[in-house]
Order: sequence, then structure tokens, then C-alpha cells
Amino acid sequence: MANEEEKELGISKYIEDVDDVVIGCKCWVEKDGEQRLAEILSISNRRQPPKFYVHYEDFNKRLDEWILSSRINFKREVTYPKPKDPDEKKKKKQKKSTTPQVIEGETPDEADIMDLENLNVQGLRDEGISRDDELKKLRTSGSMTQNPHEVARVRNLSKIIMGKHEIEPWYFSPYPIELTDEDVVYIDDFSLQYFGSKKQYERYRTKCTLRHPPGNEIYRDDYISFFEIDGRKQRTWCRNLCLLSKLFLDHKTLYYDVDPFLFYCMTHRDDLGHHLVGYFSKEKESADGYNVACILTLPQYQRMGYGRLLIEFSYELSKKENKVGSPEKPLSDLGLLSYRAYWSDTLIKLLVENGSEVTIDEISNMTSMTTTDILHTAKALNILLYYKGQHILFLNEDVLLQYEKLLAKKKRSINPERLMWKPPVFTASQLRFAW
Amino acid sequence: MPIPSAQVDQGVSSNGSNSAASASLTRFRHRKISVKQKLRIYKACDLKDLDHDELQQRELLEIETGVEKNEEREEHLHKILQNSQLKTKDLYIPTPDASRVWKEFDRFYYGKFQEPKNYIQFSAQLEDCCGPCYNLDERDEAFLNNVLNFENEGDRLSEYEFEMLMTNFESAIKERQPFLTMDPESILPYEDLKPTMLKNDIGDVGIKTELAAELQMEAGQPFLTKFDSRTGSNSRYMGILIEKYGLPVYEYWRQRKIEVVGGSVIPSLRAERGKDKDDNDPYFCFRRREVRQTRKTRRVDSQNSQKLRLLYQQLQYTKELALLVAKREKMSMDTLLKDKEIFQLRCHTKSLKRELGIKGEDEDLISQKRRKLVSNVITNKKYLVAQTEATSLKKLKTKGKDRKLAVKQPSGSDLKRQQLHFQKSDQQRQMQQQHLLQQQQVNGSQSQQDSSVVSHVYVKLPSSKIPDIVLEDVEKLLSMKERNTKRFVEDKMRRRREEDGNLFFNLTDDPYNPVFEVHIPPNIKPTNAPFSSIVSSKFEINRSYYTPNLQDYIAGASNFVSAYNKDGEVIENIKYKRLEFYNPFEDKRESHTRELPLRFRRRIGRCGIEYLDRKDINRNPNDMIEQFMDFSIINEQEENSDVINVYDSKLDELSRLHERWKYDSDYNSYGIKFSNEPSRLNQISNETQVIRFGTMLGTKSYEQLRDATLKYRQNIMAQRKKLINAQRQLQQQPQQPQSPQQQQQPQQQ
Repeated sequence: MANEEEKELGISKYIEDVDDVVIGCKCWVEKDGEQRLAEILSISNRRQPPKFYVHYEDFNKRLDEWILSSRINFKREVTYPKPKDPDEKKKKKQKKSTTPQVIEGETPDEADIMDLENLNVQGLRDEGISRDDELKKLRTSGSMTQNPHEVARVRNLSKIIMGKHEIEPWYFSPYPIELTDEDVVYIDDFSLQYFGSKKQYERYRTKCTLRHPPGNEIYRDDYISFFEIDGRKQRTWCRNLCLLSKLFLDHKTLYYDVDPFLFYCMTHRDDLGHHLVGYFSKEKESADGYNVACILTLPQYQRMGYGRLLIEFSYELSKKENKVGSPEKPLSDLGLLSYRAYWSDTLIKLLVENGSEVTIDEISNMTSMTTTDILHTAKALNILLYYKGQHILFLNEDVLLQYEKLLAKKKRSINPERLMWKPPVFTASQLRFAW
Repeated sequence: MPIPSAQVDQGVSSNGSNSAASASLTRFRHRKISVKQKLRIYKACDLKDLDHDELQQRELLEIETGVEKNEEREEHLHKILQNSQLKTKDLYIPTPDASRVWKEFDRFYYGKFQEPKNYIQFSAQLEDCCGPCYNLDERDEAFLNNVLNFENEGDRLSEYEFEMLMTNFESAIKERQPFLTMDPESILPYEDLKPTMLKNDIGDVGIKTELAAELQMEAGQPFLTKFDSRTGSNSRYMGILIEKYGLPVYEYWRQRKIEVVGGSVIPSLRAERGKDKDDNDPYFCFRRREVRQTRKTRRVDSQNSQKLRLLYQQLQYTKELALLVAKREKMSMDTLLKDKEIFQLRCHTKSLKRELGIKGEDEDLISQKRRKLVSNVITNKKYLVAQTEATSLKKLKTKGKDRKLAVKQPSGSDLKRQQLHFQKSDQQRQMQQQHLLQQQQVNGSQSQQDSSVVSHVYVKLPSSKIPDIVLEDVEKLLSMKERNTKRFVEDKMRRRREEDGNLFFNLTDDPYNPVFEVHIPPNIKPTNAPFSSIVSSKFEINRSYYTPNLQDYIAGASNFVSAYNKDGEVIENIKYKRLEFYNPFEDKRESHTRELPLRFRRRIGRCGIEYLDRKDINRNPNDMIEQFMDFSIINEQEENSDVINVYDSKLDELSRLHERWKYDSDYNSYGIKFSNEPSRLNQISNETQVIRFGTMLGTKSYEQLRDATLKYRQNIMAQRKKLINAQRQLQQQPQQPQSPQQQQQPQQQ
């Protein structure tokens, strides 16, 4: 594994003093009763005792956290990054062995003062792609890629209060930097406007008349509604939405503006209005045949089946367009699991209920899923087999059991008849997104 | 595991037990799978028919999950991915907490949302929905309460007004000193900025006053627009605010402005601060995409200015429309207010009258409802539907004044009587109408009398005494009536046909008849011909055919069509294969045809090039439109795809014309619907026509017609026979001189 290789590159030693812990070093930290190797990403000395922002190796970034020195295990070795050798090949440098060069003893408490020279090299996930390439890719399409900046590795808001819910953010999001000083950032449930000051929030609430996402409702049933919002026409609202969702999507980039996207927002209705539950964005014109750019169920509504509805809706739109589609890559871990669940349920249902013979193409036509996604699912389900020189689809007992479960559960689903939507058409000049 | 070999997980097959299975994998060479290939689906219950050993896990190329490689290694996801997808129910990926509920929620969110019945349509900008952009924070609040309002107690500046002022400052400074961030200390003093602030229209007060003036509202009359929040509705005008509080608030704001180095006092996004683009700043987001500037040419310039002018014009129109709507609403509000005023005055009058003991007419206390204008057309229409009791109700309504049930019975029976009269001649009918009108008037006065005598029409019955009658639906009764009529006529027709057999074809007894081709005399034009039976009797029917199995043909059951002419002779070569049928009982009165709307011809031209010629058969409205529309302009406009004013767009005009003329044509493809036009004059509905016609079939005149026709035919046959005989005789006696009979023969013919 690449990590081990890098570990060997670093210098390991035992330390005793907390001051010796610097940004970039890796130490063993107690996490939920076990010892884990963790990288120090930031140190806060503003208040005593100092706090350390750690990223646990082989844990998702959303579990990164601020800890006190008591959780650091000084009985085990601490690995320091190797000092940079200017003669080293550039390729080596690009490898993500972390760390800006920090002069020992200096306390880097201000997170936004950074050694700019090293930044380009940091955080790059994919060795093969240079930063320039990445930007170039962004320019043509897409909404994914991590912000390669070191600052962006540290979560900058500690808590948000959105509507009724108090939520812990997962990742960095480029809200106005002044807000990062606040303990709580308030987010308006309807306009998604952000406030560091409670008084401001209160004033805003008395003035704001918005009760639903500012677009046209294209779907409504007794449980949820969908609104279609054009990034170009509702720039502020869509920016607010993107800032919010960046808190929970690692790979989302806000490098460019929201104009090329349509936002499909799922809401839950009550006496106060339509509360945003989740959304997915979609490029007005996708060169890669993506039918979803970013997709998110807000954390307060997660694990309640909303994600599946979002995914199902995105495929209903594709069906109306007579296109196949797939979500933009990379997927997040949660995204992959949601999609796999949807794909496998759709596939199982279709195979059990329909006939005795089918081609992958036909499945694709019926579901708007790409053939790749279908094959991926078939593989994950272990149903594509080879029998006497022929490929067959074999629905084993587990699959049939799953089908029974599906029927028994009666999950909520999208009713295509309630979708009042025509695929929007844009002229060439409307698709030129520049001033 | 039911099928060991099928469960081989290649991804993780490092343990020894699987090695045998994976070895067996290599025995087969798998063909690549194609997405077009039919795959059989087997279920687990089919297992007994399958040879287990033959089942092989398909060797697929490793398909990318779509998750980044180093994230796939992450512990929680990795565990789930390693397991079979159907068995991972208890595994999940942990996420930070989002379950806590904020206690102050109810204080911040209140009010009721009215869900519209239809799907929401919304296009207002977010900024339009939340009042002044500036939101007062804790520090402002302290300043406002402890400094500003502390000094001038009694004349407080509200929070909303404070926000309006602050918003005004921000926008004024943006206008006057857009590059303040370079040197925040150079911020303009109050007096310099004041004119700009006064000019600014924050809180839309200026627009509102203008609007109020345009709507002729009284000065100071408060009103809200759709986007106004409820709170700021009674704020004072900007001018007053600036005069009164401008200076101290400005000084306070200026201080804050300098503190934030000239930026916006409210935290804003990096991108909005107008700094240079900095690729390395993670807080810099929402960049504009760079695009190569298109070269500026005269053409592009003029196009753009054209677009702008258009936009301006269209906005003007929109505004005008909106204003008119507002005016209308204002008017109806005024009416309501006036009504209310009148009502209150009446109340006052009433009490005055009572006080002063004035007795007599109470007319001034009752609102005189205006009589609804009833145009002649509408009353005529009423007669047409007068066959039913339902209309009696309506009639009573138009009579106004009295709707009491007591009148319903007599007038209903009147109508029934009237129905009978319908069958009489037109003149009689008209007289009847007049008579009826009189009767109605009498009825009206009668009913008035009635109502004065019978004070209670609605008698309350105890529930036990209410007779147990099933109430019939008017609709149902009507439709039943119609069905019965239809059945009667159809039955009549069928019997008639049976009687006639193959001898006599009545071209009119079949509602599914082929269409007559009507020839209109040249001196009469369909546009100006008065529709009367006299004129229509001049119309000549060129051809009329009888086709016994037309319905089968139209239904597609048979391809065979034969037509008979009026003499009952089969027409061999139907030049006009255009067969249509018209069902008078059908709601939409459609005529059906099996003819294709287009005809094609294949033609081989020079060099063996094949052409497909197209011929339009149906006349379409475009033919007529063509006379005064130039289609080439439309094409030109479309091809250039410029942005065109809706009002100039020829295509739009065409589509509107087309739309209008689709139903607004004197003609249809076979001429005028003469069957209904004359009847309009005589005020006989189509339904009545049909009934009259149907009953005619039962009369003696029909018999006479048939007898006459048969006689006529026999005559002709006899003549022909005679002729043939004569010719034969002529042939047999060629030497004989010509007989006078023969000379006369052609004349006879």
C-alpha cells in the first residue's frame, strides 16, 4: 500500500512533549476505544489547552475532529514527514506525503496563513492528473474535484442550525471567512441564507416571505414535492444551496459559478412551507452523459429513504428525456451505497417480474440506467453467470428473498404521472456561461 | 451458500477453499458479453433443471465503483464492499450527529403557508423576497437602542427603518466609491453622499408612491405588494428618514465601514468582494467561466441593441398589463368600499327612521339589484333547449325576482305544452313564442302574487314525514330521453330498410350516409346566401350514393366498398373514392374518412433519380392564409433565428391565424353543413331535425315517394326494353324503309 511506503519515507521517533507535535506528523490517537494512526492537520493554540485537528487514517474525512493532547499516545512512535529534498523528482513530490514545511516551534494557529509555495503540490489526490489538467476539466464540465488547498482539509464551521435542526458539518465550505469564527452559523430553512449573528437571523426571518424553493414545482405527491431551479436565474439561492451542500459533500467544487446547472430540490411540506430535504444538480448539457452532478440528502433527513427518492426522480427525468444517465464520478461512499441499493432493487424487480429473456440494452432502455451501471450491479449481486457456453442471469435465493422483502416493505416511490415536466431546452447562447 | 461455484467472489478469493473453484474457472474460455445479447433469466427454483457444475461466475472485468481508489480503502466502506450486497444490512457508514433539535425554532418560524392547489410557479428573485438587504446585528441593535433612540425618545427609529438607511448607505457608496477597499479612510462625508442617497429608492418607496399616483390612490393610503414583508409596511419615507436620522446613523455606519476595510459590513462571499481571482484561495468560489471574447462587429452591435430595444418594449407591455390589472383590482376594491358605505348609511337611515317614527316605503333600505342584461341570442338559445324541464329553472332565473318553487310547477307544464307545439309549422311556432312570452309574464306576475299570499314555501317537515322518493338526476333523465329517441328513430329506420329490401334505396334514412355533393348555383354565394329552405331548394345535389356496407369499411372490417346511385344502380368506377360518414348522434359531429391526408407518387427523373411527389388533399387553412401572408418571411425569420418581438413574429401571427381559423370557416371539405344552417333560422335544433326526419319515415308521403320512384324506374325499364326491341326489329328488317317510330325514338330519349 502506498501509505506504508510513505510511512517509511518519514522519520519516526519517540517524543515526550506536546509541543513537538506539529502539523503533518502522524501519531497514534485513541478513537472509540482503539488506537488509530492519525495525521495532525491543524493545531489551535488560541485557548489553552491546545487542540489538534486530526484525520484518522482509513477513515472518511467527515470523522476528522478536534482532540485534546490527552488522546495522543506518546508511548508510540510519531512519524514526521521527511524534509523536502529539492533535488527529488517532481513526481515524488506530487505523491501525497502531506505537509507543508513547518518550521518547528512556530505555532501555525492561523489556518489561512500558509506556505503558498508548497500548496500546489499538496492534497492532490490523483498522481496522474496535474492541477492544471484538473482545472481544465472543470472548465469544460462537471462539479466534482476536491479543493486542493490545505486549508480546505480542515472543517471550518463547527455547527450549523438550519430550521429546526442542529447539524455538525462534515467538510470545509467556503462560506464568508468571518463566519468561521462563530460557534454557530444559522441557515434559513427557505432561502438558505447564512448568518453568523443571531440578531441578523431574527431580523431576516421577520422580513423574508419565501416559503419554498424559488422555482417551479414540477412534482407533487402527498409526501414530497420537487422544484426545478435554474442556476442562472436564481444565482443567490443556488449559491447558498451549494455552500450548504459543500458542508456535506467532499468532492463538490465551488470553483465555478452555478449557471450551468439545474437544481432539482426535494421538499417536505408542512404548515410553515416547503422545507428542503435534499437535492440533486444536473448539468444543462452534460458532455459525459451524466444525469446527476451532485446529489445530497441533508444530514437531518438521512437514513429515511429520501436518497432513494432523489435517485429515482433523477432516473424519471432521464426517462422523460429518453436518455440513459449515470451520476457524475467520483461518487462518495454514501453516494455509492445509495446508488447500489437503488440499482440492485430496480434490477431485481425488473428481472423477477419480466419474462424469461432480456438483453442488457433492454434493461437500460426500461430503466434509463447505463449498461455499465447494470453490469456493475449484476456483478455486485452475483447474478450474471456462465452456463454451458452461454451467459445467463441467475436469480439465486438471496435475490429472490430480497425481492420478497422489497414487496413487503412498500417503499415510497415516485409516481411518474405526477411529474409535470418537459425537458428544458437551451439555446447555444444560453449555454455560454460567461460574462 | 446454495451454489458454491456461483458464489465465488473473485475480488477476495485469497482463501484456499476458493482456489479450486477459481481453477475451474480457467477451464472455460468465456466469450465477451454483448449488451445486445439475449440473456435467459433463471430463478432459484429452476435450479434442479440446471447442471450445477456448469454454472460459472462470469469473469467480468473489474468495474469501477466510481468511488476514488483511496476512499474505497476507507474502513467502513471497504467492509461493506467486501460483503455481498444483500447481506450488509447491519453495516453502515457512521456520520456526524444531526439529530438535535433547536429549541428556539418556533420563535423564528411562524405563520401559515397556504398551499396552492396547482403546482407552484415562481420566478421572483430571492433578493425580492426579503426586504432591505441589510440585516441588523447585535452591535447595531445596541447602537440603535442605547444611543440613537436613547437620545430622541418618543420619536424612535424602528429596526426596519434603520435597515433601510443602512442599505441605502451601502448602495450609495457602491455607486460613488466602488473602489473604497483600496483606501477606506477616504470614505465620503455625509453631505457629499446625501444627494445620492436621496436619489436611491430603497424599500421601493419611490416606486410605490409613483404606482399609487398612477392608480389614483389617495395619498398615504397604505398598500402592500406581493413581495413586501408584513413588518415594514408602515415605515416612513426615505427622505424623512435621511433628514431626521441620516447623520448619526451615517457616522456610525462609516465607522463600521472603515473597520471592515471598506468591504461590506455584512460578511460576504469572497467572489462578491471584487478581489482579483486567486486560484489558491479556497474561500474564493463561484468564479465566472472564462470564454474567448467574440469579436465585436457592427452586426453584433446592432443585433444587441435591437435585442435591448425589444426587451425594453416588452417590459413596457408587461408593465402596462400589470398596471391595468392593478387598476381593475383597485376599482373593484372601490366598489366594495362604496357598497359598504352604502350599507352603513342604510343602517343609519334605518335607525333614524325608527327613531323618528317615519313609516312607509322601505325602498331606500333595499339594494336594488340591477337586472342582468339578457341578450336576444341567449333567449333564443333557451328556446332551443326548452324541451326539458331543466330549462324551466333557468328561465325562472332570467325572470329574476322570483325563484320560488311555487312557480315551478305551472311553468314546467307550460313548457311541455310548448314542446308539443314545436311540431307545428314555423309560423305557428313563432306565434307560440310570443304567446309563451306573454304567458311567462303572466306567470311572473302570478308568482309575485303567489309569493305575497303564500309566505312560506319551504315547509319544514319532520324527517319521518319526508316521502321516500328516489331523487332523479336531471342529467340522467335527459340522457335517457335522448337514448329513447335515438332508439326509436333507429328502429324505424331499420324496419324501413327491411321493407325496402334491395329495391329501393333511401339515401336519407341512413344516418351513416355518404355525403351529398352540393352544388350551389353560381349567382348565390355561400357567404351571403340567406339560409332558408327556399334558397337551399335551389341547391343541386350532384351526386349522392348509397353504400350499404360503409360502416364496415370505415371500421376497417372490410375493404370492399360499393356505391349505388339514386336509381339503385351500382356505380362501377367511383371516381370519387372519398367516402365519409356523418353521425348526427355523435357528440362532436365529426365526419370520418378513410382517405389519407396525403398522396404520394414515385417518379423517376433524370439519371435514375427517384423523386417522391407529394400531393395535399385536404384543404388546409393555410391556403386561405396564404392570400395575405407571405410564408417566405416566416421562413426567413426562422432561419435567421434572431430574437423577434412577439408582435412582429410572422410565425406567431400565422399560428394565431391558424388557430383562429381552425374552427372559423364557412366551409368544410364538402361544403356547408346545410343541415344545420337553415334550421338555425327556423330555430329548430339538430335534435329536433332528426326527430322530425325520423317521424317522416313513418308517414304516408314516404310510401308515396317510394311507389313513385319504383313506378318511374319501371317506366324507364319499359322504355328501354321497347327501344331494344325496336332496334332488334330494325336489324331483322334491314331492307325496310325507316319507320317513323325509329325517327321519334331519339327524341324520346
